Amino acid sequence: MTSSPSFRRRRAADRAVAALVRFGGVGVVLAVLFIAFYLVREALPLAAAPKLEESGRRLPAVAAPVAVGVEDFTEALWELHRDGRLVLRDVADGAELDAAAPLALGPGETVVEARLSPDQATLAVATSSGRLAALPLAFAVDYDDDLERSHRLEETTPRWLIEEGDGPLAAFSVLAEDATVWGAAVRGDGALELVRGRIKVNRLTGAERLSRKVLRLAEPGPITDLALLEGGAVLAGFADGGLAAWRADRPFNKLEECGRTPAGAAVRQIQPLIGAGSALVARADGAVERWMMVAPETGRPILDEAAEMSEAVPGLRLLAPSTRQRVFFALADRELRIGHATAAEYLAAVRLPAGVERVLPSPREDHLLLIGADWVEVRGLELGYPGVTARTLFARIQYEGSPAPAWTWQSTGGSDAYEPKISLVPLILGTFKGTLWALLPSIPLAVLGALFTARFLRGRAREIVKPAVELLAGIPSVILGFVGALYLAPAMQDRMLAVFLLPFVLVLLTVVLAVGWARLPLPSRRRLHEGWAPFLLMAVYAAVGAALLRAGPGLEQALLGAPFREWAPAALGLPFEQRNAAVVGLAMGFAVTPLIFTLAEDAFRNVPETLAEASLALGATPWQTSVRVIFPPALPGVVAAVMLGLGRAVGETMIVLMATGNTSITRLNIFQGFRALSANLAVELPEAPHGESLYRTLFLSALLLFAFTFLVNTAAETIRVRGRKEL
Amino acid sequence: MNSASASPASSLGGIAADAASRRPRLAAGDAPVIRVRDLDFFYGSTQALWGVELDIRRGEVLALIGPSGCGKSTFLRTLNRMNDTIPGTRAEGHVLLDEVDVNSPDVDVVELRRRVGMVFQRPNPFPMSIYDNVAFGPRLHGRARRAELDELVERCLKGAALWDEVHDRLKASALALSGGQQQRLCIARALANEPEVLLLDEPASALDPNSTAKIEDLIFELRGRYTIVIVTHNMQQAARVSDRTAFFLKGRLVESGPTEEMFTNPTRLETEQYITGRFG
Repeated sequence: MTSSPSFRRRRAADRAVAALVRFGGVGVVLAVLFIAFYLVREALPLAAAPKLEESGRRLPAVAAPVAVGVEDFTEALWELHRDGRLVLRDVADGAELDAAAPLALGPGETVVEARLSPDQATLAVATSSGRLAALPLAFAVDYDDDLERSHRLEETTPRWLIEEGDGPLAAFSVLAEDATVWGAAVRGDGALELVRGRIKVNRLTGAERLSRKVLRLAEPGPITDLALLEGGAVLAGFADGGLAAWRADRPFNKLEECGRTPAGAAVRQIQPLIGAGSALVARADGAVERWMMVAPETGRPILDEAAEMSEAVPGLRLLAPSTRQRVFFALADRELRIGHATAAEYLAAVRLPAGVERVLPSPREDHLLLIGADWVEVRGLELGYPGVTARTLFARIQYEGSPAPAWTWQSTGGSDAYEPKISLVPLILGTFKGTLWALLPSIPLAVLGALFTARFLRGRAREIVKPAVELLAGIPSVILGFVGALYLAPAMQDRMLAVFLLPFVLVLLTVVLAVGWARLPLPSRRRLHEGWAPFLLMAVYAAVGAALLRAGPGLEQALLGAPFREWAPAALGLPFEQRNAAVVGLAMGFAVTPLIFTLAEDAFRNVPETLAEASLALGATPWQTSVRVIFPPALPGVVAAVMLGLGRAVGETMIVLMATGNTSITRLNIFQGFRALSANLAVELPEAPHGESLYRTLFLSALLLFAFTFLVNTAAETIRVRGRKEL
Repeated sequence: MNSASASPASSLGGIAADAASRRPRLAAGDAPVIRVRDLDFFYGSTQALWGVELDIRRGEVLALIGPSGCGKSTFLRTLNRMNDTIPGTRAEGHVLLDEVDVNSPDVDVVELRRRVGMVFQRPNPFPMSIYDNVAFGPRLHGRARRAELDELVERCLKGAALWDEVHDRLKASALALSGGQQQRLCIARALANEPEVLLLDEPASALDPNSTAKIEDLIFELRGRYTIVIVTHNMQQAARVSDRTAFFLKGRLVESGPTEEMFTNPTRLETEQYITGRFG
């Protein structure tokens, strides 16, 4: 074969186009893969376990201190000594940087024990004479000209909660809240005392004064440990393993018991967690439980067990809380477990050298101090994302302050001590709720409309209807969203009953009209034929629909005796919100219906005309033909259309964002809103700190959404292709 | 055009005479099943049939011949009102089935199409099993008793000379059959409605010669039991299968008469020109 110039040119063009098409196709696949890869990469670190360095710097303590800790940068180590001196030393070489004696102990009085609050800002100090103080810890940083940091102690004043001692305290706890300092202790005489100290500042001099009130319980029982919880609640554990909680009554006259549990394994330690919303109870058998005060619907808060850690730690010696989250360190014989209180499980176990008596995380949680009798070792710590586990994402959890386990998404709160609630269940459920209520009316409307357009509508009407409906699909969803939120929601609120009756009324009307139509004499029927009857019907629909909606509020008053939004909660037990799933269903219907319609219409029209002819020639009515001959072969296409509609509804963001109220509830109630995965991403991702737990959790939810829409769309496409082959 | 139009008219006449000699004689002078009087037909504003007058006798095979676009298919489809499915069409005049005008408002088109069955040019079995294809019509008309349907399906498949080929796979998809088998299935499907008249719109034009022969044999078999109107482009086929032939040209019925006579001694010049292959 000779290759003429024109042939070569055509071949070159052919190859160029083929390359371009291949580039486009491969490009799309790569883009999808890239998105999937990116989502996985951002979410994957969530799976990593906490890590502790294998070894660290060890420095000797000068004299065995009562308490040890580090400041923010883990560059300076502080020690509280028996004589009440506070010493700051360099972590690198052990050199003394600063020293102070803020406690001003009496003659012969020594510090017996000191306990650090979870946020490491307050030290509870008990003295040999039985006095109790809350000592604020503060460190200052100075920068020299080369930006080298140097550390010193900030001057602080102790707040004495028990000023008159009567022998060493058996157990004690201190809790500093905004302008209140709480103290609780078992005194030398065995009585339990709760002290409320209110900090009063003299506006003129700036001097602080502590105004104290004390409540006393003479014989509380053999308390082994106690802790103060939020609001001054005292949680105490007994030698027999029982627990009890007390609170001051309203006018602060007496201690009221608010919960007591039966005996069990002896209570070793009660350790409040950050924010003091809950406390961990360590028992002699190694079990660790989480207890909190919960407020029932009515009445006073009561003591409740929120969770028990998934496993017991053999040889458990003590617990240390982390400073920023609900992570805790459980020290056992030569082993350290890192656990998470919300997740109620241990995430890592580390072998430790001999002689470790205590452990303490640094304020920034980037180091862990292993404290021996006369040494301190500093090891690097990587907690990762301990609060994000399968349990916190998907299981019911009883969070601080809530009376029962629940699936909750409330990722951020007002304070640092807020317990993040990151259950994806309400979001997934919300997504499906929105999809369900959007598809429920859309599917019959779109599929029957498509069948009608493809098989019953004649002449030019058919050529007008499809593009018109497709035009609807082009409405930006943000417009549908604000129409839903600002117009539909308030309008539907007043005529919910009418909205629900509307489809039934219109169907009934159609049947009545159809029967009436069939009885009409032929000439008047003929006059209206050739495709104009549907438009007349639409006018009738519009008129009847408008009349029904206009009569809506009156109808509710007449039939229910009250507006529907008041009737539904009372009679059906379904709470009613203005921005609810019904509004979304309607607004999203405008986005989903045209999509399903146009694909289903194609499916119906693709059924060969010859099949319809054969059926009609056998004496089938058009309806029988549709049901028995058109529908079965079109079914794969229709299913695919519905699936693509489903995919659209699942991924839809703006409409659900604007019209739902975004409440992350787990009820399918159509009269309440919901929060969908997509809307949640739109709301929270811009606000989430880069690289933190929330950020990665959101990426995980994005991955979930991606996987779901990918699967649905792939399934739809597979069904469609298979259906096409069979036809 | 096929070879028939290239053959001299006398050979067609021979075929017709030969076919006629093998056929039992029909009782002549029967009242016609269908009487068409002064039939005009319009596609929108275009007139497709002009004043057609034709009688179709009970039990005969009537062939409609004529060049493409002459209106023979349109005429066929007026007999069971299949043209209703095309928007903008209109029939004027009378198509009397047993003296009742099929276009009158009292006529139930469903019942009309049950009595006047139709088979199309291209085999169009439903994408269902062979059994369900045949049972489709009876089920539509409310005959759903299993035993009755079984018997009916067997009878119709035998009637369409398909039973021996498919009796062991009635549940198999009809789409798996060959073209000729599919067309016979379509005939069986039409027979299942127990029609009085069977309209065949070029039933063999999409088939190979072997299948065509089978269809023709079948038509031969069905003759007498059903009144058959067949549209065909194939002169030899018309000569072989029909008792009478009607020749259409430009929307008008030129002439009709016994097939043997039409092919040996046509009265009109156009007819002779057409069957001798002068045009068309």
